[in-house]
Amino acid sequence: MNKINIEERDAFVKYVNECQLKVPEEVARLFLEYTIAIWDYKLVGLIYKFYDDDCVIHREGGLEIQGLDATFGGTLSFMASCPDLKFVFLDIFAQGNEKDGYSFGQAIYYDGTNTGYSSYGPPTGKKLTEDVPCIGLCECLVKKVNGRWKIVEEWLLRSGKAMNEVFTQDQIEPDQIACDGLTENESIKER
Amino acid sequence: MIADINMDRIDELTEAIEAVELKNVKEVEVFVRNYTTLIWEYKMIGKIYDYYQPDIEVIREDRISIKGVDKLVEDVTKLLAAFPDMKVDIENVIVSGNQEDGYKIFRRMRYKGTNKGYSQFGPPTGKSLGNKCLALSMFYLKKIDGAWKITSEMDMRSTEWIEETLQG
Repeated sequence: MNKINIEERDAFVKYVNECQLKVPEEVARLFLEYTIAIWDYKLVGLIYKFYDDDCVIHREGGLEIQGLDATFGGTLSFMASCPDLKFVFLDIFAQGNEKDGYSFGQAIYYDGTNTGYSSYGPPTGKKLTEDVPCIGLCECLVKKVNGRWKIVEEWLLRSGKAMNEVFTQDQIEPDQIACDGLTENESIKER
Repeated sequence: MIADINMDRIDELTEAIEAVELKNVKEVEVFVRNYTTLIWEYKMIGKIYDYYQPDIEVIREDRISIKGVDKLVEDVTKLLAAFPDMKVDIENVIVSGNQEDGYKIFRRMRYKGTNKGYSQFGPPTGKSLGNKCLALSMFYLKKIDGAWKITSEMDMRSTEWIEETLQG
């Protein structure tokens, strides 16, 4: 059975296509629905709709991601590593106006399981969110470029260390391997 | 002389914070800029008790949860001890809401400082954070028993870069 509710997805896309961005409240709703359409419904091509060709994404430790190719690359590799990935919105709100553009801030947490290959190697089966969530915060600057609303700059922080642990296989120390080939935990059970 | 200049600035910031009624988003933005500067740059760490709810939970990056204002004060002190010359560049503050329902705030800033103090990684390395330590936070400000308090916060910083700086 298809896990995606097509009608629900199309309602998100309809709002994304029709929103006029007249007031900050509309902007906040638009980018909530836009994010869900891209990540939860995997309509990755919608990146073209609101990301500017020269968009700069400022990340941790001074890292800067520039341009659409890099934006697509990052999105696709994260999605491939956690095929059940969902962005759970904690909040989003905006400020600004039609003339000067808008800024919005959003807080989300990531819900998903590493069942696909990533740059760290084969899947680990570990989950992104356990008791305390793996959160992400981002701010975007939205301006009109050639008459169309575009994200021209973004500042994004993710729970990098915790996420790296999710994508990294647990190391089994050599002295944890019992002589009979069982791991320490399995050996304890045997005893 | 430098002490006088800094003390005068602390007094100015404190007076500005106490005078503000948070009637609108512009006032909230000024309040956020002032108290952030007061705590981080002028090391008035104890002022955290004035602006945060005692049972605050701050969700940080990497599944860290700081529960209670005492733990928050410890956390800020730890970072300031490692970077005693800390400055904060507040790049943007987004505010939404009103006086009746409270305000939502999104703050973008950069921590700037040099590792001149001991940290969990050992003696100071003398390395600087430069302009690379991006920090983002979202928090809620509400009137509780007549006083404005931060009731909930999500706060993220470039931890890996901080650790790299502390490790030399």
